[in-house]
Amino acid sequence: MGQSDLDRQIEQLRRCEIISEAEVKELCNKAREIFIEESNVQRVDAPVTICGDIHGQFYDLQELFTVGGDCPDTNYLFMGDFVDRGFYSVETFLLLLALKVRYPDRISLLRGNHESRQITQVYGFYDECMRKYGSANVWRNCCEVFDYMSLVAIIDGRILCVHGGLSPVVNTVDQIRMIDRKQEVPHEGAMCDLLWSDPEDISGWGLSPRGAGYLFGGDVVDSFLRTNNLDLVARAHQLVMEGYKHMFDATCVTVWSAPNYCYRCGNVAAILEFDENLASNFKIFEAAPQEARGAPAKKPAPDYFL
Amino acid sequence: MDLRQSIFKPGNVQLPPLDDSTDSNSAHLKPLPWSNYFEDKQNVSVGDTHFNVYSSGMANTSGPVFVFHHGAGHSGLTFGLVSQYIYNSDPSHITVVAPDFRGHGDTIGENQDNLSLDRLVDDLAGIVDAMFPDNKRHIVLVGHSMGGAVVAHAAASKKIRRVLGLALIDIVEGSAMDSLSAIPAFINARPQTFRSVESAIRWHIDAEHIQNRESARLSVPSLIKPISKEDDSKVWAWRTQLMPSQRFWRGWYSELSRTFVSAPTAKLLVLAGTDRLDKELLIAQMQGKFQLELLPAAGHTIQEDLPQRVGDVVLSFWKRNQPLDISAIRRVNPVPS
Repeated sequence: MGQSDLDRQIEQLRRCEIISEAEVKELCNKAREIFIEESNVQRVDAPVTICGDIHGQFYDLQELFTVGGDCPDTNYLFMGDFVDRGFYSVETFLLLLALKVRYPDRISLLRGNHESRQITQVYGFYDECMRKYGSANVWRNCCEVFDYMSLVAIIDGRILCVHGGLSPVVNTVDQIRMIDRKQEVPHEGAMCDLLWSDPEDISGWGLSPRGAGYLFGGDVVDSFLRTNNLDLVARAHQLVMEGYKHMFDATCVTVWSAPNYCYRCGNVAAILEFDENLASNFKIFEAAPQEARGAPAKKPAPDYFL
Repeated sequence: MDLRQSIFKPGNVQLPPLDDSTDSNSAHLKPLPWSNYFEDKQNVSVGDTHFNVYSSGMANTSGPVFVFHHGAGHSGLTFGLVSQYIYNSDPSHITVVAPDFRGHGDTIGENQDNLSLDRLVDDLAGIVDAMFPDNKRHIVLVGHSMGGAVVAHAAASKKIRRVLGLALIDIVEGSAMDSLSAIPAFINARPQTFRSVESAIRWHIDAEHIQNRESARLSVPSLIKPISKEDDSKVWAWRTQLMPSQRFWRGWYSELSRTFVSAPTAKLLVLAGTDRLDKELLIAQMQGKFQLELLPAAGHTIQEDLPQRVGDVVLSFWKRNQPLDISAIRRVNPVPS
């Protein structure tokens, strides 16, 4: 795949047009070669703009690039959950993947809990691949890429970025480096927790109402940051109506980047910019205008009974 | 009015009984007895009503109690397969209880047509109090469809104490409200009578109301009763007339999402499809407020269609929501090294 082919695919995907199945396969192979070289703990240099869940909302991702600047002009770190729920998971994930292959040092992609075979089979990405390509090959190729994506990133040695949060079985960043990540997201254990946990106003650890991962309190964050000589945990995973939310004296921040989630939640979205001195700045954005993204089909009422 | 007009008068259209002359001889449609699935069938009197209650493990004194609430028009036997599966996972500790609620199944008494939400919640709380006085055990409430609304309000109002978990099966306020207007037509399109129990079982399977034949053979007989026609021949009619309860429908589902999300207990929602979530539940789910399990292969009666899957989901939900022991977690999931 030459650079001009890749540039053409990027242009095509930017117009929200899919590329061919053969092109997807080649793109996924290239992306996997890049991800294999990356550690579980991806090193990222500021300045960088970090982003939360996207969930296949392609036209809102375009808004994000309008607000935050295009890749590669802006250095991006996406904290997972690219697919499922929205109508354009295929175009969204493939565009981000193509940008990764084209500009590997200008965009980082972490794995979210939705980058999983099991989850994508019930929350939409699998069905979308079947609908748009007529076979499961594209879904399968993408899932193989999921298995190689990094679990966390550390910006300038100060900021830990992760999709979900902390784990009761992980005390140090070095322990994260020891995880064998090249697998489907497990149902329990360190890797599962990193992708599923949520911060909560409790002390210590709590049961997660989600059924996977844990709740972690401010004291847990404080101890993790001290142990690892860090300043901040930045994460995504939870819908925040205002786009972002600080917790625990600003030692933990949630960033959510899917405006009007699922086309009906009415929330705004945010991205978080860190300059070269790690000074932070949130940028808030709203959903793309309805006409820009095409009207979602009205779904039929379920065949409910009483 | 001439005969033809009378037959085609709107509202008077009745589907002819299915051609089921062979059904009554079909072993694969034969009714299955409740005793294959539960240990006991007892009468529990609460107020004006004698509730018929199916149960297993009533002699157990520790371990969890799983209490099941069926939807409108169903009976306790809709949970026969799933409650047997749950009970069998630990028969020396687990108790399962599946009543026929007011106006349903073998339950009898006064005011059987009062299916208001408050009445149903009080009935459920009354049954639990009567069966487990001075209860010291954890209770997991499981409700299907309308029953989901009842268990959600019972947990949120704390009319039932020691609730460890609340599980709703295929019920969402938004989509239930959206479909209410279509339900009368749905009810009217059902056959009003069946020639035999077997033909009623077959109808539920053919119409895909119940995908699981075994479960249909268990649950459908409890939904119908024999009646004599003018010519003294016998047909089978619905035990529960649904249209008279129409005035209660909105009350069942109004505020259900808020009630569910705010209930002070662990929460599980089992749905047959993701796009059934309404806005309030979607926000709560993406904020991590409850556990969502999707079983898209099932129809609306998920507990009958996929009893083992639902059983596994409910059991792991209960096990997971025990008091947290971090040192035990660290033993099971060693720190990576």
